[in-house]
Amino acid sequence: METAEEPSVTSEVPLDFETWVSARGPALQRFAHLVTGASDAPDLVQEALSRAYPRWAELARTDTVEAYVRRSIVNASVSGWRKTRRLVAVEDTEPHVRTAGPDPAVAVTDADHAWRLCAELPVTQRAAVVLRFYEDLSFAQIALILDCPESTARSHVHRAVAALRARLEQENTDDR
Amino acid sequence: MTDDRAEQAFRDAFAQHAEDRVTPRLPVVRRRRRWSVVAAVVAVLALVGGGGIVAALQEDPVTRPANEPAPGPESTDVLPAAPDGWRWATWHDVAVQVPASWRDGGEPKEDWCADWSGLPKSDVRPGPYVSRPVPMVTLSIACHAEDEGVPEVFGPAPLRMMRPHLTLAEPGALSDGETSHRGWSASLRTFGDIQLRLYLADADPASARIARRVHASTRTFSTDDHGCDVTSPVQAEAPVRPAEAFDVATVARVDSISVCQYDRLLGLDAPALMGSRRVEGAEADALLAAIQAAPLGGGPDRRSCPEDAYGDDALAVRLHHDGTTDDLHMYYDSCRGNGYDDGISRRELTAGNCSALFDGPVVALVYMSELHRRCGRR
Repeated sequence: METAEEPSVTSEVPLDFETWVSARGPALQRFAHLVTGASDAPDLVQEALSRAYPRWAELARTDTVEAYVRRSIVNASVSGWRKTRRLVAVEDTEPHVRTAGPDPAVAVTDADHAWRLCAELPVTQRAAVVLRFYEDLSFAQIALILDCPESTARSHVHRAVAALRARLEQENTDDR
Repeated sequence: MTDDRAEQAFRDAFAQHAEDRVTPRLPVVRRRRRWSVVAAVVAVLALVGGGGIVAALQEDPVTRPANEPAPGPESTDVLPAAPDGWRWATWHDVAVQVPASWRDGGEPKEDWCADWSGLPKSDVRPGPYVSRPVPMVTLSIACHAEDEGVPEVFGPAPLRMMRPHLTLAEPGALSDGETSHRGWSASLRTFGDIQLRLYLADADPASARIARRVHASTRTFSTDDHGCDVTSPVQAEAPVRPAEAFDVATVARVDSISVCQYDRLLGLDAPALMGSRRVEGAEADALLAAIQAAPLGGGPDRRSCPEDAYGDDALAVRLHHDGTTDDLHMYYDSCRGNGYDDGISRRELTAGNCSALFDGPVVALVYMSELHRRCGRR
Protein backbone atom coordinates (compact mmCIF):
# COMPACT_ATOMS: atom_id res chain seq x y z
CA MET A 1 0.00 0.00 0.00
CA GLU A 2 1.57 3.25 -1.09
CA THR A 3 1.81 5.68 1.80
CA ALA A 4 0.83 9.28 1.50
CA GLU A 5 2.13 12.60 0.86
CA GLU A 6 5.05 13.44 3.05
CA PRO A 7 8.24 13.80 1.11
CA SER A 8 10.88 11.28 1.66
CA VAL A 9 13.52 12.27 4.13
CA THR A 10 16.77 10.77 4.93
CA SER A 11 15.56 7.81 6.79
CA GLU A 12 16.53 7.02 10.32
CA VAL A 13 14.41 3.93 10.16
CA PRO A 14 16.82 1.05 10.07
CA LEU A 15 16.44 -0.83 6.86
CA ASP A 16 16.60 -4.14 8.66
CA PHE A 17 13.47 -3.29 10.66
CA GLU A 18 11.49 -3.15 7.46
CA THR A 19 13.13 -6.25 6.15
CA TRP A 20 12.41 -8.13 9.34
CA VAL A 21 8.76 -7.05 9.43
CA SER A 22 8.35 -8.00 5.80
CA ALA A 23 9.77 -11.43 6.45
CA ARG A 24 8.14 -12.15 9.81
CA GLY A 25 4.91 -10.19 9.64
CA PRO A 26 2.67 -12.94 8.30
CA ALA A 27 4.02 -15.45 10.81
CA LEU A 28 3.48 -12.99 13.66
CA GLN A 29 -0.08 -12.41 12.58
CA ARG A 30 -0.73 -16.14 12.44
CA PHE A 31 0.79 -16.47 15.91
CA ALA A 32 -1.35 -13.65 17.25
CA HIS A 33 -4.47 -15.20 15.80
CA LEU A 34 -3.73 -18.65 17.19
CA VAL A 35 -2.98 -17.23 20.63
CA THR A 36 -6.08 -15.09 20.82
CA GLY A 37 -8.48 -16.61 18.33
CA ALA A 38 -9.72 -13.08 17.90
CA SER A 39 -10.13 -10.75 14.98
CA ASP A 40 -7.88 -8.13 16.54
CA ALA A 41 -4.73 -10.10 15.87
CA PRO A 42 -3.44 -7.47 13.42
CA ASP A 43 -3.87 -4.80 16.11
CA LEU A 44 -1.88 -6.87 18.56
CA VAL A 45 0.91 -7.24 16.06
CA GLN A 46 0.85 -3.51 15.39
CA GLU A 47 1.09 -2.79 19.12
CA ALA A 48 3.98 -5.19 19.53
CA LEU A 49 5.94 -3.75 16.64
CA SER A 50 5.26 -0.22 17.88
CA ARG A 51 6.93 -1.09 21.15
CA ALA A 52 9.77 -2.87 19.48
CA TYR A 53 10.64 -0.07 17.11
CA PRO A 54 12.13 2.36 19.69
CA ARG A 55 14.21 -0.49 21.05
CA TRP A 56 15.14 -1.93 17.71
CA ALA A 57 18.85 -1.30 17.86
CA GLU A 58 19.23 -2.99 21.23
CA LEU A 59 16.94 -5.86 20.33
CA ALA A 60 18.82 -6.45 17.12
CA ARG A 61 22.17 -6.28 18.88
CA THR A 62 21.11 -8.86 21.47
CA ASP A 63 19.23 -10.99 18.93
CA THR A 64 16.06 -10.88 21.03
CA VAL A 65 13.70 -9.32 18.52
CA GLU A 66 11.56 -12.37 17.94
CA ALA A 67 11.17 -13.14 21.64
CA TYR A 68 10.40 -9.53 22.50
CA VAL A 69 7.74 -9.11 19.84
CA ARG A 70 6.03 -12.40 20.58
CA ARG A 71 6.04 -11.63 24.30
CA SER A 72 4.52 -8.26 23.54
CA ILE A 73 1.75 -9.92 21.58
CA VAL A 74 0.98 -12.27 24.47
CA ASN A 75 1.10 -9.51 27.09
CA ALA A 76 -1.07 -7.22 25.03
CA SER A 77 -3.67 -9.93 24.61
CA VAL A 78 -3.57 -10.66 28.34
CA SER A 79 -4.19 -6.99 29.11
CA GLY A 80 -7.13 -6.93 26.76
CA TRP A 81 -8.48 -10.20 28.14
CA ARG A 82 -8.42 -8.98 31.72
CA LYS A 83 -10.24 -5.81 30.83
CA THR A 84 -13.07 -7.52 29.07
CA ARG A 85 -13.52 -10.69 31.08
CA ARG A 86 -16.57 -10.69 33.27
CA LEU A 87 -15.90 -11.34 36.93
CA VAL A 88 -18.11 -13.85 38.69
CA ALA A 89 -18.46 -13.49 42.43
CA VAL A 90 -18.54 -16.59 44.57
CA GLU A 91 -22.12 -15.87 45.55
CA ASP A 92 -23.14 -16.11 41.94
CA THR A 93 -22.01 -19.69 41.51
CA GLU A 94 -24.62 -22.31 40.92
CA PRO A 95 -24.61 -26.02 41.48
CA HIS A 96 -23.03 -27.85 38.61
CA VAL A 97 -25.61 -28.41 35.89
CA ARG A 98 -24.97 -30.69 32.99
CA THR A 99 -25.49 -28.73 29.80
CA ALA A 100 -26.89 -30.06 26.56
CA GLY A 101 -24.41 -31.99 24.51
CA PRO A 102 -23.33 -31.17 20.97
CA ASP A 103 -25.47 -31.91 17.95
CA PRO A 104 -24.87 -35.60 17.33
CA ALA A 105 -25.35 -35.00 13.63
CA VAL A 106 -22.10 -33.02 13.50
CA ALA A 107 -18.96 -35.05 13.88
CA VAL A 108 -16.54 -33.36 16.23
CA THR A 109 -12.95 -34.06 15.43
CA ASP A 110 -10.04 -34.17 17.80
CA ALA A 111 -8.86 -30.91 16.31
CA ASP A 112 -12.21 -29.31 17.10
CA HIS A 113 -11.85 -30.36 20.72
CA ALA A 114 -8.34 -28.98 20.79
CA TRP A 115 -9.42 -25.64 19.36
CA ARG A 116 -12.30 -25.35 21.80
CA LEU A 117 -10.01 -26.15 24.71
CA CYS A 118 -7.58 -23.49 23.56
CA ALA A 119 -10.34 -20.94 23.76
CA GLU A 120 -10.68 -21.73 27.46
CA LEU A 121 -7.01 -21.54 28.34
CA PRO A 122 -5.37 -18.49 29.89
CA VAL A 123 -3.58 -16.55 27.20
CA THR A 124 -0.08 -17.32 28.44
CA GLN A 125 -0.79 -21.03 28.60
CA ARG A 126 -2.38 -20.95 25.18
CA ALA A 127 0.68 -19.18 23.83
CA ALA A 128 2.90 -21.92 25.25
CA VAL A 129 0.79 -24.57 23.53
CA VAL A 130 0.91 -22.70 20.21
CA LEU A 131 4.66 -22.28 20.45
CA ARG A 132 5.09 -25.96 21.22
CA PHE A 133 2.73 -27.55 18.71
CA TYR A 134 2.61 -24.99 15.90
CA GLU A 135 6.06 -23.49 16.07
CA ASP A 136 7.72 -26.70 17.37
CA LEU A 137 9.85 -24.76 19.82
CA SER A 138 11.75 -26.26 22.70
CA PHE A 139 10.71 -25.54 26.27
CA ALA A 140 13.80 -23.40 26.67
CA GLN A 141 12.80 -21.29 23.69
CA ILE A 142 9.23 -21.05 24.93
CA ALA A 143 10.47 -19.94 28.34
CA LEU A 144 12.57 -17.23 26.72
CA ILE A 145 9.64 -15.89 24.73
CA LEU A 146 7.18 -15.98 27.61
CA ASP A 147 9.78 -14.76 30.13
CA CYS A 148 9.12 -17.58 32.54
CA PRO A 149 11.08 -20.49 33.98
CA GLU A 150 11.40 -23.51 31.75
CA SER A 151 9.49 -25.51 34.34
CA THR A 152 6.55 -23.18 33.92
CA ALA A 153 6.63 -23.60 30.15
CA ARG A 154 6.62 -27.37 30.61
CA SER A 155 3.79 -27.14 33.09
CA HIS A 156 1.66 -25.05 30.74
CA VAL A 157 1.97 -27.56 27.95
CA HIS A 158 1.67 -30.61 30.18
CA ARG A 159 -1.54 -29.39 31.75
CA ALA A 160 -3.11 -28.50 28.41
CA VAL A 161 -2.26 -31.90 26.94
CA ALA A 162 -3.66 -33.62 30.03
CA ALA A 163 -6.86 -31.61 29.82
CA LEU A 164 -7.35 -32.43 26.16
CA ARG A 165 -6.58 -36.09 26.72
CA ALA A 166 -9.26 -36.19 29.42
CA ARG A 167 -11.77 -34.66 27.06
CA LEU A 168 -10.95 -37.07 24.27
CA GLU A 169 -11.22 -39.99 26.68
CA GLN A 170 -14.59 -38.71 27.84
CA GLU A 171 -15.63 -38.44 24.21
CA ASN A 172 -14.72 -42.08 23.72
CA THR A 173 -16.72 -43.03 26.79
CA ASP A 174 -19.78 -41.08 25.69
CA ASP A 175 -19.70 -42.70 22.27
CA ARG A 176 -20.02 -46.19 23.71
CA MET B 1 -4.82 -43.07 25.65
CA THR B 2 -1.37 -41.58 25.37
CA ASP B 3 -0.52 -37.97 24.97
CA ASP B 4 0.27 -38.48 21.28
CA ARG B 5 -3.33 -38.20 20.20
CA ALA B 6 -3.86 -35.00 22.17
CA GLU B 7 -0.64 -33.48 20.86
CA GLN B 8 -1.57 -34.31 17.27
CA ALA B 9 -5.00 -32.77 17.86
CA PHE B 10 -3.35 -29.50 18.85
CA ARG B 11 -1.13 -29.63 15.77
CA ASP B 12 -4.08 -30.27 13.48
CA ALA B 13 -6.14 -27.51 15.07
CA PHE B 14 -3.42 -24.93 14.68
CA ALA B 15 -2.69 -26.00 11.12
CA GLN B 16 -6.34 -25.59 10.23
CA HIS B 17 -6.83 -22.23 11.85
CA ALA B 18 -3.53 -20.62 10.97
CA GLU B 19 -3.96 -20.54 7.24
CA ASP B 20 -7.32 -18.97 6.77
CA ARG B 21 -6.76 -15.48 8.21
CA VAL B 22 -3.66 -13.97 6.78
CA THR B 23 -3.68 -11.78 3.68
CA PRO B 24 -0.41 -9.95 3.89
CA ARG B 25 0.35 -7.21 1.44
CA LEU B 26 3.74 -5.82 0.59
CA PRO B 27 3.61 -2.02 0.28
CA VAL B 28 6.22 0.51 -0.69
CA VAL B 29 7.36 2.10 2.51
CA ARG B 30 7.99 5.81 2.87
CA ARG B 31 10.57 6.56 5.47
CA ARG B 32 9.75 8.85 8.38
CA ARG B 33 11.61 11.04 10.78
CA ARG B 34 12.79 9.21 13.87
CA TRP B 35 10.37 11.10 16.13
CA SER B 36 7.42 10.01 14.06
CA VAL B 37 7.53 6.53 15.48
CA VAL B 38 3.86 5.83 15.28
CA ALA B 39 3.49 7.03 11.73
CA ALA B 40 6.53 5.08 10.55
CA VAL B 41 5.31 1.92 12.11
CA VAL B 42 1.84 2.37 10.65
CA ALA B 43 3.34 2.51 7.19
CA VAL B 44 5.52 -0.51 7.69
CA LEU B 45 2.76 -2.43 9.40
CA ALA B 46 0.74 -2.34 6.23
CA LEU B 47 2.95 -5.29 5.38
CA VAL B 48 1.14 -7.48 7.83
CA GLY B 49 -2.20 -6.91 6.20
CA GLY B 50 -3.72 -5.17 9.17
CA GLY B 51 -5.60 -1.95 8.92
CA GLY B 52 -6.36 0.61 11.53
CA ILE B 53 -4.40 3.05 13.55
CA VAL B 54 -1.71 1.90 15.88
CA ALA B 55 -3.01 1.83 19.42
CA ALA B 56 -1.64 4.20 21.99
CA LEU B 57 1.58 2.94 23.41
CA GLN B 58 1.13 1.18 26.68
CA GLU B 59 3.53 0.21 29.39
CA ASP B 60 6.65 -1.70 28.60
CA PRO B 61 5.66 -5.24 27.69
CA VAL B 62 8.07 -6.77 30.16
CA THR B 63 6.29 -5.19 33.14
CA ARG B 64 2.92 -6.14 34.41
CA PRO B 65 0.33 -3.95 36.07
CA ALA B 66 0.85 -3.74 39.79
CA ASN B 67 -1.90 -4.46 42.28
CA GLU B 68 -4.14 -5.83 39.58
CA PRO B 69 -6.65 -8.03 41.33
CA ALA B 70 -6.74 -11.63 40.35
CA PRO B 71 -10.25 -12.26 39.09
CA GLY B 72 -9.81 -16.01 39.22
CA PRO B 73 -7.41 -18.72 38.23
CA GLU B 74 -4.32 -17.37 36.58
CA SER B 75 -0.65 -18.11 36.31
CA THR B 76 1.87 -16.49 38.58
CA ASP B 77 5.59 -16.88 38.24
CA VAL B 78 6.71 -16.43 41.84
CA LEU B 79 4.08 -16.50 44.55
CA PRO B 80 4.10 -13.20 46.41
CA ALA B 81 3.92 -13.06 50.16
CA ALA B 82 0.37 -13.66 51.32
CA PRO B 83 -1.39 -10.70 52.97
CA ASP B 84 -1.42 -10.49 56.74
CA GLY B 85 -3.77 -13.06 58.21
CA TRP B 86 -3.50 -15.38 55.21
CA ARG B 87 -1.09 -18.02 53.94
CA TRP B 88 -0.62 -20.07 50.81
CA ALA B 89 -1.69 -23.70 50.62
CA THR B 90 -0.16 -25.45 47.63
CA TRP B 91 -0.06 -28.79 45.86
CA HIS B 92 1.99 -29.38 42.69
CA ASP B 93 1.58 -26.07 40.86
CA VAL B 94 -1.74 -24.91 42.29
CA ALA B 95 -1.82 -22.36 45.09
CA VAL B 96 -4.69 -20.93 47.09
CA GLN B 97 -4.84 -18.58 50.08
CA VAL B 98 -6.34 -19.74 53.36
CA PRO B 99 -6.48 -18.08 56.77
CA ALA B 100 -3.06 -18.15 58.39
CA SER B 101 -4.52 -19.92 61.42
CA TRP B 102 -5.51 -22.97 59.39
CA ARG B 103 -2.98 -25.71 60.20
CA ASP B 104 -1.88 -28.59 58.01
CA GLY B 105 -3.89 -31.70 58.79
CA GLY B 106 -5.80 -34.59 57.33
CA GLU B 107 -9.46 -35.33 56.84
CA PRO B 108 -10.79 -38.16 58.96
CA LYS B 109 -11.07 -41.23 56.78
CA GLU B 110 -12.82 -44.56 57.11
CA ASP B 111 -10.78 -45.26 60.27
CA TRP B 112 -12.10 -42.18 62.04
CA CYS B 113 -13.23 -44.16 65.06
CA ALA B 114 -9.82 -45.48 66.13
CA ASP B 115 -6.27 -44.31 66.42
CA TRP B 116 -3.01 -46.19 66.00
CA SER B 117 -3.07 -47.41 69.58
CA GLY B 118 -6.45 -49.02 69.02
CA LEU B 119 -8.17 -46.70 71.49
CA PRO B 120 -11.20 -44.67 70.43
CA LYS B 121 -10.23 -41.35 69.02
CA SER B 122 -11.29 -38.12 70.60
CA ASP B 123 -13.85 -36.30 68.53
CA VAL B 124 -11.78 -33.17 68.75
CA ARG B 125 -9.78 -32.17 65.73
CA PRO B 126 -8.76 -28.78 67.00
CA GLY B 127 -9.38 -25.96 64.60
CA PRO B 128 -9.65 -25.45 60.88
CA TYR B 129 -7.08 -27.10 58.63
CA VAL B 130 -5.80 -27.72 55.12
CA SER B 131 -5.65 -31.29 53.88
CA ARG B 132 -3.41 -32.23 50.95
CA PRO B 133 -3.30 -35.55 49.07
CA VAL B 134 -0.20 -36.81 50.85
CA PRO B 135 -0.22 -40.62 50.81
CA MET B 136 -1.31 -41.79 54.23
CA VAL B 137 -2.05 -45.17 55.72
CA THR B 138 -5.65 -45.94 56.62
CA LEU B 139 -6.53 -48.72 59.07
CA SER B 140 -8.75 -51.42 57.61
CA ILE B 141 -11.48 -51.21 60.19
CA ALA B 142 -15.21 -50.68 59.92
CA CYS B 143 -16.45 -47.64 61.82
CA HIS B 144 -20.21 -47.63 62.16
CA ALA B 145 -21.90 -44.60 60.66
CA GLU B 146 -23.38 -42.23 63.23
CA ASP B 147 -25.38 -40.03 60.88
CA GLU B 148 -27.89 -40.89 58.22
CA GLY B 149 -28.51 -39.16 54.93
CA VAL B 150 -25.22 -37.28 54.88
CA PRO B 151 -24.15 -36.47 51.33
CA GLU B 152 -21.03 -38.34 50.24
CA VAL B 153 -19.14 -35.10 49.77
CA PHE B 154 -18.96 -34.65 53.56
CA GLY B 155 -16.99 -37.85 53.99
CA PRO B 156 -17.38 -40.96 56.17
CA ALA B 157 -16.79 -39.37 59.58
CA PRO B 158 -19.63 -38.05 61.77
CA LEU B 159 -20.63 -34.44 61.26
CA ARG B 160 -19.68 -33.75 64.87
CA MET B 161 -16.06 -34.13 63.72
CA MET B 162 -16.48 -31.64 60.85
CA ARG B 163 -14.31 -28.52 61.03
CA PRO B 164 -13.79 -25.72 58.53
CA HIS B 165 -11.17 -26.93 56.12
CA LEU B 166 -9.84 -26.98 52.59
CA THR B 167 -8.94 -30.25 50.94
CA LEU B 168 -6.71 -30.35 47.88
CA ALA B 169 -7.65 -33.61 46.19
CA GLU B 170 -7.18 -35.57 43.03
CA PRO B 171 -10.29 -35.05 40.93
CA GLY B 172 -12.62 -37.80 39.83
CA ALA B 173 -14.11 -39.20 42.99
CA LEU B 174 -16.54 -36.33 43.61
CA SER B 175 -18.21 -33.98 41.15
CA ASP B 176 -17.80 -30.22 41.25
CA GLY B 177 -20.62 -28.24 42.77
CA GLU B 178 -22.11 -26.80 45.94
CA THR B 179 -23.77 -28.90 48.66
CA SER B 180 -25.22 -27.94 52.02
CA HIS B 181 -26.24 -30.16 54.92
CA ARG B 182 -27.09 -29.42 58.53
CA GLY B 183 -25.25 -26.12 58.81
CA TRP B 184 -22.24 -27.01 56.67
CA SER B 185 -21.55 -26.07 53.06
CA ALA B 186 -19.16 -27.80 50.71
CA SER B 187 -17.86 -26.13 47.54
CA LEU B 188 -15.95 -28.31 45.08
CA ARG B 189 -14.10 -26.83 42.11
CA THR B 190 -11.53 -28.42 39.84
CA PHE B 191 -8.52 -26.52 38.47
CA GLY B 192 -6.41 -28.62 36.17
CA ASP B 193 -5.43 -31.74 38.05
CA ILE B 194 -6.45 -30.51 41.50
CA GLN B 195 -9.92 -30.36 43.03
CA LEU B 196 -10.41 -27.78 45.75
CA ARG B 197 -12.97 -28.88 48.35
CA LEU B 198 -13.86 -26.08 50.75
CA TYR B 199 -15.95 -26.84 53.82
CA LEU B 200 -17.35 -23.93 55.85
CA ALA B 201 -19.90 -23.45 58.60
CA ASP B 202 -22.96 -21.55 57.46
CA ALA B 203 -23.36 -19.83 60.82
CA ASP B 204 -19.81 -18.40 60.82
CA PRO B 205 -19.92 -14.79 59.61
CA ALA B 206 -16.37 -15.18 58.28
CA SER B 207 -17.27 -18.03 55.95
CA ALA B 208 -18.37 -15.90 53.01
CA ARG B 209 -15.20 -13.82 53.18
CA ILE B 210 -13.03 -16.94 53.37
CA ALA B 211 -14.82 -18.48 50.41
CA ARG B 212 -14.31 -15.37 48.31
CA ARG B 213 -10.61 -15.24 49.14
CA VAL B 214 -10.06 -18.93 48.48
CA HIS B 215 -11.70 -18.83 45.07
CA ALA B 216 -10.27 -15.46 44.02
CA SER B 217 -6.71 -16.37 44.97
CA THR B 218 -6.48 -19.74 43.24
CA ARG B 219 -3.72 -19.78 40.67
CA THR B 220 -0.92 -21.79 39.19
CA PHE B 221 2.65 -20.84 39.90
CA SER B 222 6.20 -21.76 39.08
CA THR B 223 8.02 -20.91 42.32
CA ASP B 224 6.28 -20.76 45.69
CA ASP B 225 6.73 -18.28 48.50
CA HIS B 226 9.25 -20.56 50.20
CA GLY B 227 11.53 -20.46 47.17
CA CYS B 228 10.64 -23.91 45.80
CA ASP B 229 10.06 -24.61 42.09
CA VAL B 230 7.17 -26.81 41.01
CA THR B 231 9.62 -29.25 39.41
CA SER B 232 13.08 -30.40 40.36
CA PRO B 233 15.66 -32.87 39.12
CA VAL B 234 15.20 -34.82 42.36
CA GLN B 235 11.77 -35.92 41.19
CA ALA B 236 13.46 -38.33 38.81
CA GLU B 237 12.76 -41.96 39.53
CA ALA B 238 16.41 -42.74 40.22
CA PRO B 239 18.62 -40.51 42.39
CA VAL B 240 20.50 -37.85 40.48
CA ARG B 241 23.40 -35.64 41.48
CA PRO B 242 23.03 -31.84 41.37
CA ALA B 243 23.93 -30.58 37.92
CA GLU B 244 25.56 -27.51 39.45
CA ALA B 245 27.93 -28.99 41.98
CA PHE B 246 29.21 -26.96 44.89
CA ASP B 247 31.03 -27.76 48.11
CA VAL B 248 28.61 -27.25 51.00
CA ALA B 249 31.57 -27.13 53.38
CA THR B 250 32.58 -23.77 51.91
CA VAL B 251 29.25 -22.08 52.66
CA ALA B 252 29.97 -19.80 55.59
CA ARG B 253 26.42 -18.91 56.48
CA VAL B 254 22.96 -18.93 54.92
CA ASP B 255 20.22 -16.34 54.76
CA SER B 256 17.59 -19.06 54.69
CA ILE B 257 17.02 -22.64 53.57
CA SER B 258 14.10 -23.78 51.41
CA VAL B 259 12.99 -27.34 52.02
CA CYS B 260 11.15 -28.60 48.92
CA GLN B 261 9.56 -32.06 48.75
CA TYR B 262 8.85 -33.76 45.42
CA ASP B 263 6.90 -36.80 44.25
CA ARG B 264 9.13 -39.19 42.29
CA LEU B 265 6.30 -41.12 40.66
CA LEU B 266 5.08 -38.48 38.21
CA GLY B 267 7.98 -38.23 35.81
CA LEU B 268 10.25 -35.29 35.13
CA ASP B 269 7.85 -32.98 33.33
CA ALA B 270 4.86 -32.87 35.65
CA PRO B 271 4.65 -30.41 38.54
CA ALA B 272 5.53 -32.58 41.51
CA LEU B 273 5.97 -30.22 44.47
CA MET B 274 4.25 -31.86 47.45
CA GLY B 275 5.16 -29.53 50.28
CA SER B 276 7.64 -26.88 51.28
CA ARG B 277 8.86 -24.76 54.13
CA ARG B 278 11.50 -22.16 54.74
CA VAL B 279 13.99 -22.43 57.59
CA GLU B 280 15.52 -19.18 58.83
CA GLY B 281 17.61 -17.66 61.57
CA ALA B 282 19.20 -19.85 64.20
CA GLU B 283 17.38 -22.92 62.94
CA ALA B 284 18.91 -22.44 59.50
CA ASP B 285 22.37 -21.94 60.97
CA ALA B 286 22.01 -25.12 62.99
CA LEU B 287 20.79 -27.11 60.00
CA LEU B 288 23.70 -25.94 57.84
CA ALA B 289 26.17 -26.82 60.56
CA ALA B 290 24.64 -30.26 60.97
CA ILE B 291 24.85 -30.92 57.24
CA GLN B 292 28.47 -29.80 57.09
CA ALA B 293 29.41 -31.88 60.14
CA ALA B 294 27.82 -35.09 58.89
CA PRO B 295 30.07 -38.02 58.01
CA LEU B 296 31.03 -38.25 54.35
CA GLY B 297 29.84 -41.15 52.26
CA GLY B 298 26.08 -40.79 52.44
CA GLY B 299 23.56 -43.22 53.96
CA PRO B 300 22.10 -44.84 55.86
CA ASP B 301 21.06 -47.33 53.21
CA ARG B 302 18.85 -50.33 53.73
CA ARG B 303 20.56 -53.64 54.26
CA SER B 304 18.31 -55.92 52.28
CA CYS B 305 16.27 -54.61 49.38
CA PRO B 306 16.45 -54.40 45.58
CA GLU B 307 18.90 -51.76 44.49
CA ASP B 308 16.32 -50.22 42.20
CA ALA B 309 13.85 -49.79 45.07
CA TYR B 310 13.78 -46.06 44.72
CA GLY B 311 11.69 -44.10 47.16
CA ASP B 312 8.47 -42.27 46.43
CA ASP B 313 9.68 -38.78 47.26
CA ALA B 314 12.81 -36.73 47.82
CA LEU B 315 13.88 -33.30 48.94
CA ALA B 316 15.69 -30.43 47.30
CA VAL B 317 17.30 -28.43 50.10
CA ARG B 318 17.98 -24.99 48.64
CA LEU B 319 20.56 -22.84 50.38
CA HIS B 320 20.12 -19.08 49.96
CA HIS B 321 23.48 -17.44 50.59
CA ASP B 322 25.72 -14.68 49.26
CA GLY B 323 23.08 -13.55 46.78
CA THR B 324 22.81 -16.96 45.14
CA THR B 325 21.19 -20.33 45.65
CA ASP B 326 22.62 -23.84 45.68
CA ASP B 327 20.63 -27.04 45.81
CA LEU B 328 21.43 -30.11 47.85
CA HIS B 329 19.66 -33.30 46.84
CA MET B 330 18.41 -35.24 49.86
CA TYR B 331 17.15 -38.83 49.62
CA TYR B 332 15.78 -40.66 52.62
CA ASP B 333 13.58 -43.56 51.61
CA SER B 334 15.50 -45.31 48.85
CA CYS B 335 17.20 -48.63 49.08
CA ARG B 336 20.54 -47.11 48.14
CA GLY B 337 21.76 -43.56 47.80
CA ASN B 338 20.21 -42.00 50.89
CA GLY B 339 21.81 -38.89 52.29
CA TYR B 340 22.77 -35.40 51.19
CA ASP B 341 24.50 -34.74 47.88
CA ASP B 342 26.04 -31.43 46.81
CA GLY B 343 27.34 -32.82 43.55
CA ILE B 344 30.85 -33.23 44.97
CA SER B 345 30.36 -35.19 48.16
CA ARG B 346 27.65 -37.25 49.79
CA ARG B 347 26.90 -36.86 53.49
CA GLU B 348 25.10 -39.09 55.92
CA LEU B 349 21.67 -38.32 57.34
CA THR B 350 21.87 -37.60 61.06
CA ALA B 351 19.37 -36.62 63.70
CA GLY B 352 20.67 -33.08 63.47
CA ASN B 353 20.32 -32.64 59.72
CA CYS B 354 17.22 -34.74 59.01
CA SER B 355 14.53 -34.35 61.64
CA ALA B 356 14.64 -30.57 61.30
CA LEU B 357 13.41 -30.86 57.72
CA PHE B 358 10.11 -32.67 58.32
CA ASP B 359 7.54 -30.32 59.72
CA GLY B 360 4.35 -28.64 58.55
CA PRO B 361 3.66 -29.42 54.89
CA VAL B 362 6.86 -31.49 54.53
CA VAL B 363 5.98 -34.97 55.75
CA ALA B 364 7.52 -38.38 55.40
CA LEU B 365 6.15 -41.84 55.95
CA VAL B 366 9.29 -43.52 57.18
CA TYR B 367 9.12 -47.26 57.47
CA MET B 368 12.81 -47.90 57.93
CA SER B 369 13.48 -47.86 61.66
CA GLU B 370 16.96 -46.41 61.35
CA LEU B 371 15.70 -43.47 59.34
CA HIS B 372 12.84 -42.95 61.75
CA ARG B 373 15.35 -42.60 64.57
CA ARG B 374 17.25 -39.95 62.65
CA CYS B 375 14.45 -38.16 60.81
CA GLY B 376 11.43 -38.44 63.07
CA ARG B 377 10.31 -35.29 64.82
CA ARG B 378 11.26 -35.10 68.48
